[in-house]
Amino acid sequence: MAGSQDPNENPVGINVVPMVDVIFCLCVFFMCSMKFKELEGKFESWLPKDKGSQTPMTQDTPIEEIRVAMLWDEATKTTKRIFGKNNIRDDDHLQGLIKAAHADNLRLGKNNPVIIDAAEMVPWKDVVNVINLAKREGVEKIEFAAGKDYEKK
Amino acid sequence: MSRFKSQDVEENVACNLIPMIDIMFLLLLFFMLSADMTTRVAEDIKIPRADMIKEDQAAKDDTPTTVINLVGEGENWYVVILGHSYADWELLKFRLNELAHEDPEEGNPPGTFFTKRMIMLRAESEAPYKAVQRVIQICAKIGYYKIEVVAMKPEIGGPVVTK
Repeated sequence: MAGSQDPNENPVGINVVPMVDVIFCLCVFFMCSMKFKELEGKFESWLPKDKGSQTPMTQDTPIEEIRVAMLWDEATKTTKRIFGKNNIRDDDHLQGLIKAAHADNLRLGKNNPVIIDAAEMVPWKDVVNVINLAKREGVEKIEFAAGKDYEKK
Repeated sequence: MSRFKSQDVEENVACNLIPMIDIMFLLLLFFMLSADMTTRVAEDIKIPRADMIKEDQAAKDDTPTTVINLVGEGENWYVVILGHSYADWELLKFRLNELAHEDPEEGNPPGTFFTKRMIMLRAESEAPYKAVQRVIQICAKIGYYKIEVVAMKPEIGGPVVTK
């Protein structure tokens, strides 16, 4: 009969069709459950270990802090930023002010941190944005203002 | 001798499926190896984007690290560590204290305690600052001082992230 297999060539015939079906099912499962992960990075914001210590003030060490205040406007649902006496218009404005303040600090031989003093309802993404702007200007130390003590009863 | 054989030969056209099965095995092997079935350290949340982030060095120098995920919405925010939710802040303090004492820092001055364990803080973009501040305060009081804020690079038109 044409097309018939000689049984002497393959006495034990294994049907591999179900195995191929199972392989396909497994492939579809893993392909559907696969997720591409985006790479993440980080900002270092190490807390000062000497928290609570009182450093003595001398006349030739004026306080020069770079403090960015962030307020939440409930009416417009936006964050307002204040640097010194300046109301910040946009990111470029803030970045310029941080750059100038940081340059002044370096000229005086200091490396003061940028202190972020944000209100409670300010979204975290706005705080990270300010950190990013400070990092663009080469500020190494970023600190968060102490704020309200949530553990105090 | 017959020079001209009969041309009535049935041609058996059959697809050879063996290479396809080989490819399927290779694909299956690839997807099995790339599948992550372990407990997720990083929760699937939308974290802020920033372009000045540094790559993760802790993975290279074996610094013990705890990844804190701050998730929630509205007024309800809580912490997730290694798949465990800590809606109760006291429970979170207890757990972080346990982890901190697993890796005390050498040379702690008497009366103080610092840990060399690092905190990687992954907070939702929309999380209010007070929730993040509370987590940082808890960490500071326990003795954590190495805190890192996690962010992602801004999108540059590359592959879309599936969430």
